[in-house]
Amino acid sequence: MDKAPDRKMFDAGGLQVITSFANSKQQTMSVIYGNAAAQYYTRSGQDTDAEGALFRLVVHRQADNKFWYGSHINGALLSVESISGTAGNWFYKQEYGKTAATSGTRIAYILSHKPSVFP
Amino acid sequence: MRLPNLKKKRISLVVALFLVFVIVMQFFSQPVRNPPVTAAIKAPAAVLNILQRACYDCHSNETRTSWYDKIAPISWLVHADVTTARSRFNFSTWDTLSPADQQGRLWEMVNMVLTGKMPLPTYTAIHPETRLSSEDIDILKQYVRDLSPARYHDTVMIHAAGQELKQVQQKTTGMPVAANGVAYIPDYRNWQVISTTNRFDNHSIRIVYGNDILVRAIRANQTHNLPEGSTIVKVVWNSIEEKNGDIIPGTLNSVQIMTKDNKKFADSRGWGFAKFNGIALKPYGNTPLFNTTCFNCHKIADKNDYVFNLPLPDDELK
Repeated sequence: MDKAPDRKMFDAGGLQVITSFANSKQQTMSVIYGNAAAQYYTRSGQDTDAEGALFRLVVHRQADNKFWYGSHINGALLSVESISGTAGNWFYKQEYGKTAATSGTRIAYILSHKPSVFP
Repeated sequence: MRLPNLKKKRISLVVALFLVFVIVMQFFSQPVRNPPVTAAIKAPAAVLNILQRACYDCHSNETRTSWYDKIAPISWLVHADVTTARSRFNFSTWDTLSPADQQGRLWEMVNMVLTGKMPLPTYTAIHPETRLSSEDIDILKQYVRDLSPARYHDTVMIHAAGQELKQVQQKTTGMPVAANGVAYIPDYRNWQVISTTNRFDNHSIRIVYGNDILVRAIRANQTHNLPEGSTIVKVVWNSIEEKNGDIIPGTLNSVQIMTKDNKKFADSRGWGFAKFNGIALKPYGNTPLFNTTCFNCHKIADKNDYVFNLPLPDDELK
């Protein structure tokens, strides 16, 4: 029997989803993951809670879902960026791909996203 | 060549018996009846034309039958098809559905057409005029898109999402169970994300998680027939959309589950479905029958073992 083609899933390295978002004009689909400290910090908003926080922003290209007209699904991986450290002293790292902006802009961008409502 | 008399007689007897059998069958023929049209769908003329031509014979109370459709055993098959079709949705009683249900059914219909599942190939073979052209399909696609416009910067939703975020931090999640026995799984946030999706039909954004069994099967390319115990949890948010193209999660719409239990859910190829609505996680469906409704729509993705959102295969990435 034919083997199905390979399918990739991004391994966030034990981090949990904080939020996801997309831009239909840029055709991107993104997920922000974080460790427990990052999760806590996004909810409390207190700078003192940021100690040891690690965020990872993963951006995929938007693709059509051939099984459902009306749905987009994540396509090729475009970039992975992470920030870690404490409030006011973040360490930025481009882990995959290229992002055309200064690290300061990217740190502010990653931190600007509110957490999603998880039950 | 002449057949011996005895053999001739036997053949005549068989033919006669067959004719008697066919005639007797006619007493049990079940011609399709057309109940009154009580709440017909309202749509632009171009759309109605397509629906009437390609769908109405089964999905309405205006079924047109040919003489041969009235002869058993064909009449039995036609009767069964029409009965099933009307039970799924009926354009003659359409306005009894809620606007949200109507919208959902129309997108499902368009996707059934796009994946070649509807109109039934056996039906278009006998009635070639019911085949849909690419122009017909474009009209249907535009129609459903027009029914589902985005509402940009919905301040009510933005406010409600902020409130929900506070509420979920204060409460502990219960363990609701759907009517078919599929229970909520609080642990899913530690699972692997298999894909993310967003939809412009119902304006939602989603994260799709898979358990270890499922993830191992995907890694091993065993996606044609996912193993027993494979489980998917999909978290769905109503989206907040902006004119610049931004789509972000707003209020929690639902948490949806698919889990494979081949014995328990043999009628739906092993899949048990569940949907828990809102932050209260209220189970959808009062009886186990809702599982069939879920499965019927998931048939569109039969090539992916009924899962819509498996990660895309590498050869389809652009």
